[in-house]
This record gives sequence, C-alpha cells and structure tokens, in this order.
Amino acid sequence: MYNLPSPQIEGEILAYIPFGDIVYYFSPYTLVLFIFALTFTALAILSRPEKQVDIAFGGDAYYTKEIPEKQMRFQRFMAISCGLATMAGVTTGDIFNFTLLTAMVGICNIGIVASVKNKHVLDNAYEYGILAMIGTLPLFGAAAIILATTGTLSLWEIFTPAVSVPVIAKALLVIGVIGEGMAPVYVAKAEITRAPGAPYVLMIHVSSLLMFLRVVEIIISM
Amino acid sequence: MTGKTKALMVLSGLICPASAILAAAGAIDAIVMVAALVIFFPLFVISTFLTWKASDHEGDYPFIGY
Amino acid sequence: MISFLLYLLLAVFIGLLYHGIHRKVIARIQTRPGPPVWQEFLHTLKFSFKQTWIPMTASQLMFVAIVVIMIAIWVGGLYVLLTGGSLLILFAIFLLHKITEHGLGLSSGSPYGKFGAIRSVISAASEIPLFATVGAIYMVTGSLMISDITAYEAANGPLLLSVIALPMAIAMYVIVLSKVPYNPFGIIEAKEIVSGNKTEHFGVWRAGLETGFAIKTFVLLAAFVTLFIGALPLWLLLIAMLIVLLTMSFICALTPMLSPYDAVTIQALIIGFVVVYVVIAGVIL
Repeated sequence: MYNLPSPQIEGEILAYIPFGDIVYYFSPYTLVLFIFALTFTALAILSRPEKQVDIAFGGDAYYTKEIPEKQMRFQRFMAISCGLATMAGVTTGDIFNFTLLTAMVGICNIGIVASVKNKHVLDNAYEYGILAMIGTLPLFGAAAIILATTGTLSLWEIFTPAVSVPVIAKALLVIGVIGEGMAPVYVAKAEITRAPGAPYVLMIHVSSLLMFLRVVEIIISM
Repeated sequence: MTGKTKALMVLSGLICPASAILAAAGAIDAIVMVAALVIFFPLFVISTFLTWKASDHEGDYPFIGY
Repeated sequence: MISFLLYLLLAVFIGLLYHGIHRKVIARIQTRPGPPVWQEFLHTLKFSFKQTWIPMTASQLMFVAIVVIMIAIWVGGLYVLLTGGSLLILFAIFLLHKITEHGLGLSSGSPYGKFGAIRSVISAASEIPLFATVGAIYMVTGSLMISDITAYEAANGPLLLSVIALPMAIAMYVIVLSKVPYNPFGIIEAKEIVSGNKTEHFGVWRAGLETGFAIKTFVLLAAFVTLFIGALPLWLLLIAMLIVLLTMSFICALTPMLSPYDAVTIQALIIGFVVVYVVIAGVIL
C-alpha cells in the first residue's frame, strides 16, 4: 500500500508509521537525515556547553565565558525541541505537517539565540525573529496553494506524476524554508559568535540545513 | 583510559571485518554491515590512535635544537 | 561485502596519497621542491603519536564526537557511491560534512575555531545550492540513482560531453574543488584565522580528521568521475581521479585564496549560470 511513487529519486521505502492520515516514512534518504538529527539531539543532551574564550583587545588578557545554569537549561530544552521538530520534519509525509514543523524549528532557533543575556545577541535574536516570522508567510502560502490546486496535502499523492504542483508553490516553499531556517542564520551569524556556541547554537545549523535537504527532495519529487 | 581504549580498539577491530564476513556469507543484511562499519570504523581509527599515542604521564620530547 | 571493507581501506590510503601528490604538484608549479608524496601519511601518523587531551574550554563530548561523526558520514558516503545509491543521499552527506565542519569549530571554545565555523556557514550559503544544481542532472537522466546515471552513460556516452549536462559538471567540479586542501574557496581554514575550524583539534583528533578528509577526497573525486564520465574499472577510476585532481592542483597553485564574500559571490555566480542554463535548456527542449 505504501510504496513511494518516485523511488528513482530517494530509493525504495524502508518503513512507515501511519498517524491517521499523516504517514511518517523512512526512505534511505530520510533515514540518513533522521539519524543525523537524532545524533545531534543526543549530543545536545549529553555534552556540556563550551566555555567560549574571548580575547580582550589591546592586551594579552583573555577570559572564558561561564554559562549560567538557568540559561543552559533553557538552551538545552530549546535545542532538544528543535531536534525533535527536525526529526519529525524530515520524515513526515504531509506537506502541511512539514511546514508546521519547519515553523517550529524557526521558533526554537529564535529561542536558542534569545536565551543569551547580551545586548548584541538579543538584538540579533530580534532580527532573526522578524525574518523567521516573515518566512512563515510563503511557507504556509505554499502549503495553501498546493492544497487549493491539487486538493491534497499528502506527499504520497503529490509525488505521483498525475498530480502537478504549480511552480509558484514550489518556489514559495523553498523561499519559506530558507526564510525560516537559513536566512536568519546569515543575518545574525556574526553576532552569534558572542553567544557560547556548541552544542546548542550548532543545533540551529543542523535543523535548518536538514529541513533544507528535505525540501530539496520534496521539490524534486513533486 | 588506555585499558578502555585498548578494549574498544580490539572490539571495533573485530566487529568491522566480522560484519563484512557475515554480510558476505549472507548471515546479515548489507545495511546492517554498513551500520556496523559507519559506527565502528571511526571508533576503531580513534581508539587505535588513542592507544598508541604518547603517554600523558611524562613530558613530551624536549626540544633539543638542531 | 568484504570488497567494501577493502574499498574503505583503499579510500583512506588513496585519499592520503592523493593529498600528498596534490601538495607535491602545487609545490612543483610554484618551483618549490615540496614534501614527498607520502607526506600526508607521515603527517597523520605523527599527529596520532602525539600527546592528546581535551581542552578545558571545549564542549567535552562534542569535541570528540564530531571527529567520529566526520569519519562516519564519509564511510556512509563511500557505501552510497559504491552501491549506486541516490545522488540526493550523497548531497545530504556533503551537507552533513558542512555541519560537522561547523561543529568542529564551535565545539572548541577557541575564537579561531569559532571564526572558522562562521565561515563554514557563510560558504554553506553557496556550496549547498551549488550541489543542489547538480540535481538538475535529473532532467537529463530521469533518475537520481547513481546506478541509473551510470547506466544512462553506458548507453549514451559520458555526461561530460553532453551539452545539457555540462553546467552541472562545472558545478560539481567547483564543489570538489572547494573541498580539496589549499583551494581558493577554502576560507574556513584560511591562515589568517590560524587553521580555522581545525585549530584546536590537535594530536589524535587531528589524525582522525585527516583520515576522514582522505575518505572525503576519495568519495568526492570518485563521485565526479562516476557521475560525469561513467562507471570505470578501478585502475581506470583511480587514473581519472588523479587527472581531475591534477587539474585542481593547477588551480590551487595559481590562484590566491579568495576573501570570504568573494568566494561566496563567485560560487553564487556559477549557481546563477547553471540555473539560467537549466531554465533555458528546459524551455528549448
């Protein structure tokens, strides 16, 4: 019953988990993405945060940043929820579910950055947030156009050659994912250096790039 | 530290060829073999290096000039 | 199946050897004597014998795990390539490599590593869409499985000679070029930030990284040859890979390292060229 319509793109299906009409599935491709998201979520849970070294300009002095317990707990929570959203997002078989989880990834990413109590970092979290929120517009717009033109949200239906998705919906979907996950990273990245990074800031990168990988697969298969 | 890494080196050093042989014999799927290699080959490399690296207890070779 | 294990060991060996040849050729072009071709083996072994610990400032588990992950993803990549799996998975593995590069820099707590990591993100902005354009090969072959692509080439001749697939070949070439050592796009390990994201990974960790990079070079070069020339017997594959590498050595020897934004701009221009070409070719055909 559950055979992928386009196995020449990502390989034959390995397993699926039906939740009502939303069917999560593992092809070799999504399995690789899932395992990677899982690995980095586990790392975010297990590793201790780095103590970032800062050099005081104009002298030989340097100091390390200690991360307060409270901030670490919140960042870890956000990183874990980001990892969970990513794991679900890369395996989902429903376009609206995918856009929803991408939006959640964006929100968690803002959370990770915004938990640092530093004027510059917070400034960037704000810009980051604006971009991510703007990104939801094309993202959900794409899902709405797909539903309106094809009458379905299920990737199993959309991937069949009989169903054609308008190019504008594909373009909006890509722009949405880039806006949600990737663009803010580039806007805010220079300032994120002030925020102690691993393993939590790394999760921003992991989640947004994995979502981008998934959307590439969806676009090619549609 | 060294005892553990040595044990890990031997273990992963055995698992890598064992999974390849078992897969060749048809006892396990190719995907299981790859999973085993993806996990244990890096561990084998790192644990081998950690086993033969210079001891942490003494100082490094002093620079004695050319 | 045992052949895969042998291939894996061969990949480490050939990757390190080719890195050495690459260095030697660059040196000869720049009229320096250069190191011996087996220098990278000595290098890796030297690092592996050194005293090693985890820096106080590093994120303890991450610092080590990222080295293991770096090797692991390319072991997976080698398998995908050898069994003719999906090109998309290879693309995913390349992207995971970008993530590990990022993590490599972030995990140490050093400002140099951090700048390397940031530059890795900046270069990801262009390298990832660039690899995505290789997916346009789907228009020509109708499949993204590497086995189908080689079957197509066996029937219709190498893709490198096909007019439609040529821009994809250029895009893939730039991708491989930006991953060999000393390349003009290698902003993440530029010397003005010491060694970029590799700065704090010393001793055993560095030796592990060199091993992973050797497999990476082997996989990427073999992928280029397999995708655009076709499935070749092993000895011919190795020769073709060496020839591709030598052309890259010339580029690496003769061009300076670009500044971060120039590197991104040039790669973005190539992306634009490929996209325009694909759109025009798609309209005409």
